[in-house]
Amino acid sequence: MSTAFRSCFMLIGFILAYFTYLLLGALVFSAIERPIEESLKADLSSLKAEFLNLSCVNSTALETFLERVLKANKYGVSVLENASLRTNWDLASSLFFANTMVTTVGYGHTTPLSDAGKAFSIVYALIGVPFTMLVLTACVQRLMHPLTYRPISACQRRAGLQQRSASVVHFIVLLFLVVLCFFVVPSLVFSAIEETWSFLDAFYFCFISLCTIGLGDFVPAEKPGQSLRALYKISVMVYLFVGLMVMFLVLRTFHKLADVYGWTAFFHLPSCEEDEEDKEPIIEAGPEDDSPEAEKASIKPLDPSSQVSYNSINR
Amino acid sequence: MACRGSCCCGCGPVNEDNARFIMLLLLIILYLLCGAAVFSALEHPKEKLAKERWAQRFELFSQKYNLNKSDLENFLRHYEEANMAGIRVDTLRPRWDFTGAFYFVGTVVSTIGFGMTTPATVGGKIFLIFYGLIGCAATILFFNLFLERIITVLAFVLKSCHEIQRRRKGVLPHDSRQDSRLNHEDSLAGWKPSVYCVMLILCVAAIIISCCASAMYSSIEGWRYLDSLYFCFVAFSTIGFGDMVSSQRAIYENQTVYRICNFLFILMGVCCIYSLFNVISIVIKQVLNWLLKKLKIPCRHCHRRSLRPRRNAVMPSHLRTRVRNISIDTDAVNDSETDGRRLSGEMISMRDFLAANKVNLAIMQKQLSETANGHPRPGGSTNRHNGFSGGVGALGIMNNRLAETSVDR
Repeated sequence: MSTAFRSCFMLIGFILAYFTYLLLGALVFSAIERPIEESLKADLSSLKAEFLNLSCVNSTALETFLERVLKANKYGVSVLENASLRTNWDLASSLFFANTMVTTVGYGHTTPLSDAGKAFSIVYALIGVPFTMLVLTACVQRLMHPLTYRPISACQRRAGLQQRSASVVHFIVLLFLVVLCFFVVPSLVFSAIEETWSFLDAFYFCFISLCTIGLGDFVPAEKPGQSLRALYKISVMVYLFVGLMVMFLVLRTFHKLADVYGWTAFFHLPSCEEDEEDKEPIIEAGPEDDSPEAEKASIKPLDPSSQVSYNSINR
Repeated sequence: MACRGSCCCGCGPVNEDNARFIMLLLLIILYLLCGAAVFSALEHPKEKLAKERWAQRFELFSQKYNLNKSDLENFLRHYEEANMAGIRVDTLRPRWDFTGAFYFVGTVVSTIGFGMTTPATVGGKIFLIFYGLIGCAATILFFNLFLERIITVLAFVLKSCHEIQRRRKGVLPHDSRQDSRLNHEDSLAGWKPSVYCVMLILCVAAIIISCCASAMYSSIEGWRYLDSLYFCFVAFSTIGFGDMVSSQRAIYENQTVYRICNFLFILMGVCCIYSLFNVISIVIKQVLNWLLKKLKIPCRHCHRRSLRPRRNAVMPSHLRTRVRNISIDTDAVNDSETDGRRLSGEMISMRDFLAANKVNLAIMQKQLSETANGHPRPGGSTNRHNGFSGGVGALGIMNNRLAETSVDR
């Protein structure tokens, strides 16, 4: 009963902390972005008034026209650019769209507008999203050996570090390399190719993409007259896939690190209940139940038990 | 002869894993290409039609009011820049008041990311990077904890099926639940129906939530029902294109109730669809295993070719008898050592045992509990252990995958 109450309290506390996090973020975004919005509204109002004075256009006719502009904008037809040369649904663009859909990035720069496209999107993503997660998991499983287990073992043998220290050092080095190779270097590349992006914009795009948020305010290969556009789109697609793989790798490495330090035991609420249930049928192993309760005493009885386990494996 | 037999057994899973992995990669590339072709075929004609229509309207408007085309294009360019910042002709809700910012923040940390609102200032972008880094990780953990509870509840519901199958009577409900789970995980025949039952239940739950939410959106937002269903799927699966976004008008009927229902529907829908995706990935893996059985003969041929360059004779027997997680560590140790230094490798294995005290203790507790219950299968022990350390996000799939692999062996 006390364990059940404790797990309920932990879950409720976790949910409350989560909602508090949402509220704080909402406050900060509202404080930062609201003045910009109001100033843009004022600019547009003055611009509209100036435009109406210059010409004899009726206000109602102008608003009707602008509504049609926005509807055309949703189709991807834009007045900002000379869009007659470019199509949103050629093979490279469709491949890029399909990739962003199944990875749940979802920029929204192009969206299906026909009913058949929408229905197909539902079926396609329903199978494609778990399929992609399965492929990413398989890749991460293979990368764990050369990138996580082997370096930690090498640290333990050469530097003589314990597993905890080796895990911490390895995680810090891995995090630094990932930030350098998958955020800073691609940001430099994107800011060089995309003329209107600054370094912060490119870094912001890399972060939004690799976390699969995909707000869609910055989308690569959307500039008019982009040279080698198909190749550029496919390269971004490959970058997204490899980047997601590496993000999962970092997440799993962090999970291993948390396992070593015992942090995950704090969050794994069902495991407490499991422990309580499993202790009841274990009558023969009574003394071994005492060992996890006392951490200091756990060293001595574990040596013979592990040796026994090892000897039994030999036999 | 026994030595060769153990070598074959040792080589089998590695080769099978590689074949499964390559097949997965090829299938997903094929899947993307097919999807691209279908989308291009469906959407390209409508895009051309829209362009022609726009050109006609532009021409008519400029002729009707005697406007210079370049002046009109400049005005429209300014207007679209304001549009990107969220200024519209229609009276929409303010983007960055508290409720609008809360909606944006919710879509960011759940990785839906509609994009109807984006930070325009440098401070907003920098804050979003750090805020999203912590928020997305916390959300993934939250969804994973929800998934664990969903699976636990469904396993509890499926207890009666296993009780009927096992024909056990007079057992305490506490013990029978535990035994039901053990049987659920141990037997290979019992594994597949349970996965399909879980998928069926999650499908029904997701469909019910989507239909209710679609009814609400189509009545209040004025969308068609299919469009509402499309929005529900795109939002709940966290793709979030942003072509349709709920709760964007300035004034609604029963606005507070609508916003609260909108939030709750999206939260429940994301949880259910997320669980459904995990279960579908398990089913996809089973289909791949079934395909591999048909390709059994070429795999055996590959076995024999790769027989001798593979491992030492002693290690495969170790791999065969050990639990999955320990064998992973032993693989790492074995790869770093030469084959001739067996004693050194064994000593390092003992160090790994001592270093992983908690893991070994958990495994031994599980083995002893299963021995007491009369089910000493190592596969069950692996399943239970993996059930303990349920992964975060995609890691949960990995644990399910490893458990299923050990069950297949």
